[in-house]
Amino acid sequence: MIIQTRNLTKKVTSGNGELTILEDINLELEEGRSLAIVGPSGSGKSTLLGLLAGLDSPTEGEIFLNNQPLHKLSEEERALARKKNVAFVFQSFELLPGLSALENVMLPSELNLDSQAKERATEYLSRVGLENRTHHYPRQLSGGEQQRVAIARAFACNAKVLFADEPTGNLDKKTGTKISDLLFEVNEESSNALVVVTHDSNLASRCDKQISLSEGLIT
Amino acid sequence: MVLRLSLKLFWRELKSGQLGIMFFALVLAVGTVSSISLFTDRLEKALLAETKEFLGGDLKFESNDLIEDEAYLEIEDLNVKKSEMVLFASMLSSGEKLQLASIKAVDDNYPLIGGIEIKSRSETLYVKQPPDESEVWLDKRLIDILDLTIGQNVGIGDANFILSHSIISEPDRASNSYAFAPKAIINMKDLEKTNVVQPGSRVRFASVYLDSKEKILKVESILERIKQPGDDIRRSEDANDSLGKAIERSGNFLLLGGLLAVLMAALTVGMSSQKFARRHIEYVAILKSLGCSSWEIRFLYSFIFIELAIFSIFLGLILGWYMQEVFVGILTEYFPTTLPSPSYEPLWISSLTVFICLIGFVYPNILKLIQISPLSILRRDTLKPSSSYYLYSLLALSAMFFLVFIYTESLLLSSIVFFSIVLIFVLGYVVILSFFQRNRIEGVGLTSSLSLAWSELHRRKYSNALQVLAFSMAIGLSLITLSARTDLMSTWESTLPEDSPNNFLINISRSDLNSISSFLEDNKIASPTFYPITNTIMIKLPSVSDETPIPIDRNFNASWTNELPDNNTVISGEWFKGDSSDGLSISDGIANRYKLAVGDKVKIFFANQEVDTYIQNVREVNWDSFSPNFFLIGPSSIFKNSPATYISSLYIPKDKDKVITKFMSEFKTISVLSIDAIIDQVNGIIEQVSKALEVILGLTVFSAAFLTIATIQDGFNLRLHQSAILRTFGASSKLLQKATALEFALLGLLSGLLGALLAQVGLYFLETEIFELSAKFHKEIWLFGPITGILLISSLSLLLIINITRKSPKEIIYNS
Repeated sequence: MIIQTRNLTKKVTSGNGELTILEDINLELEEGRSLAIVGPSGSGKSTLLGLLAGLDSPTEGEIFLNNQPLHKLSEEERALARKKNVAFVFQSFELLPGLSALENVMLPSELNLDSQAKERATEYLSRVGLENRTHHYPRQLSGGEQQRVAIARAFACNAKVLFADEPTGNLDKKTGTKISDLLFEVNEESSNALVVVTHDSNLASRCDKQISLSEGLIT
Repeated sequence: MVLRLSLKLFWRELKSGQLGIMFFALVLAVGTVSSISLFTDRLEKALLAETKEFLGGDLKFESNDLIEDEAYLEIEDLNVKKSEMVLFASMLSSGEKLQLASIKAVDDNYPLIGGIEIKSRSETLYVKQPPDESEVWLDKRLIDILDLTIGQNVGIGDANFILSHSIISEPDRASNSYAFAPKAIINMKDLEKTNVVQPGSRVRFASVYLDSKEKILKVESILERIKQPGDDIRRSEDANDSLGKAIERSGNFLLLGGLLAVLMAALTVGMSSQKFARRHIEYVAILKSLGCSSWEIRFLYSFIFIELAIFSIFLGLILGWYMQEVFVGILTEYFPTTLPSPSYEPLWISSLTVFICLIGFVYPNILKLIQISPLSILRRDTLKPSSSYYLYSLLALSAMFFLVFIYTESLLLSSIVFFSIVLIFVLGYVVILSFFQRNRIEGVGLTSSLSLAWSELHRRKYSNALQVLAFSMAIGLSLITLSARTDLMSTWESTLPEDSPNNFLINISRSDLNSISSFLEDNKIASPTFYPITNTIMIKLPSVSDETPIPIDRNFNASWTNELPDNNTVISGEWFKGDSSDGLSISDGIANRYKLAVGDKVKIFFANQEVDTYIQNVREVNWDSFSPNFFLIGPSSIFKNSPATYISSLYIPKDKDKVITKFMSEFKTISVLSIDAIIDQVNGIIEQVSKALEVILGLTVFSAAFLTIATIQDGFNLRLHQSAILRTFGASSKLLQKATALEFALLGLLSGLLGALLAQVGLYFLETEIFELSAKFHKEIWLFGPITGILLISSLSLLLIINITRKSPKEIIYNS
């Protein structure tokens, strides 16, 4: 099992008292499989993704990522777990504006002290069709191109799980389809697990498993 | 609508702390400037009053004769406030004891200004009237020498007086010929019965005038017309004593400190307003998409900053008023009367400062904001310089120069500060860019904290260069303030060393010299140099035969020696060779006043002798030295046959005060003037002003801290997002913290070095042009600058990065 949760609950305190975002989430995902998390806005999808990826810690319950108990780890230990196991693709791409496409893709490999970071980044950029845009900066790329750079960055680090949060949310339908094709194509080649948060029913249907959230509960 | 929205936005921004740094910088600038200008304004007024009191009025005329009738009546017609006095030296007697004293007979108008502090048996009084008839007031030293007590009889010439009070302080002290001797004051009505003043007696007739400027100018022109050689006209503005100089220098320093604090506040405001503008891109885009015109946006943001200005001026002025009250409180005991109220001018200047800062440093950023397209709502936009941006950069520079000029009122000082800063800015920018241009690392450099730091430095070279320059300003300007203060203090200390002479000995005859030396030796007091003096008149001889000789309209107490006295420097010509070719040496003041230069032929008259000679050299004289100084010095060869009295100054430690009384009883004809009171007053004021200087130094450092924080904060906004992404991919907080500390340590080092360079250049000009000191190499700033830069900037940045890395990356990414 690459991901496993038991009674995962997330509460936040706001001005109006305590608010439950997620409650008693139990799920499992095997290596190399894909999972879609769907649900309306505000149902807790992004919060669940953040917890599964170790970006946040739960209020109650347990999360295991590649058998590591994320719920017991400090932020520093979770950072190490992310470095070893996780890659991301975000709705708003989250590329660093001061870095070129190549440097953005090199980023996770550099963190893993990979001496082949540049070669690997160049290879993945050409796999997403951007071999001619390696030295372009994010502001010089279209939205679809920026998301392709983000996908190249996610796969270049050879992570065990790829988390994608609304990867086509900021793109038009045609570009969105191309990006989801690319995502599944590269995922298949690399045999990673894939967790996708999406509103897009077509994208969700391409995953091995689907869970639907409503008001913080799996329905 | 715009005004209401601006008020809402202003209040919200202020409450959320987003305007915090800018607001505090402005409050501090107004507080510093208003406190300094209010304080110096009051201090100058107090000093003017003090110098008037020192002279006894606005104008004083002294002559060996009474003013001729026609001129006297002319002055009477002007109905000007005046007081007349007669000054002479005479023996005072009490039983068997006799002592030479300087006697001042004063009329009923005395004193015209201030009062006399006198002491009876039991109480100290501050009176504004002369002694009653048949009463005499005596200097405490005279009372000691004559062994008198209050109520006893004292004889002056043929008249007997009752000693009613001892004199503690009097106005017009030390402003006349007989001031050096211990003094007695009597009523003018008693003068005749003393029978001391006879035709041919050596008497000085003095009159003091106090009135409106116009009347005083008229009196002065009448007196100038009748002035004879040997007569003396003194104006209160001419007073240039040690205290005045000390205060003037510290006033310059206070202004400099205030100015630098304001410049840093202006830069802080500029830096913070950039950040403000970036945060408001979205606001502007939304408002524009809702139909707001560019003009409405312009008004909206202008109003926000006007509201900020009003609020900060209000609080700044309260702070400034409170601070100047503290400064005044520190100095109260050194000014006998209450300090005069300040004028309103400093308040206007402080308020103007805020508006100049805002127009020069904030308005260009508002302009950039106005250019934001409503499309930014759909696609993130960045601030781009508008076409007139460079024009407005020029505006910022002009505003800066204008600010400097307002404070200094000196084109020279303004140019020194302004061009030093501009020079260092340009030089620093070029050096930093070329430094970071080299040795580029490919990638982000995440393999180690060092390579990450280096790659960050390279990638952000433009913004880093600006940050380094802002840090350099903060460090350099603080170092200038610190070193200028040290300079000032050491100048004062060197001017008034602990053993500087505190007693003048006057009227010493040649025959007394040996016995005085033995007396001093017996009492273990170092023997001083004795300077001979003789009354001399000088005439400038014409260089062409048909020109008439030009008399120099005053008498000089000329001295003669073959050694250049201490505290004197020859600035043109050569010092005496010790042979028959030697001429005269004059002070630079006399050279300038009477247009005399080296080589000019002159004739001098002294002790019934006439000598044709020439000006051999011009000396610069340190008049603050409390040693005998001379306008005119000749070689011994010229004056060898002149009868002379001698003058000297010596240091007598406080614990040997009794020696002075013993000395005066032993050498009755020698006048001893104690200048302890003056030295104590100067020392006291210097000590207290130095406390005010420390406060100003503290404020400058505060302003520097605001500038540093604003600069670092500005850079860290960009890092917040980057650190979240790097941590999402697993970069450890430690790696980011170490890299940031290293990066900023290097920036700190560069800033420290540049700051030290700025301070060294600035100080060179300040020392040579403003403080009139000799320039020196300040090695301590080359040590302090880089160390402060490294420690301060890396630790501040570390604090900020720790704060950033504590936040969850998810929170940052999803909220940005």
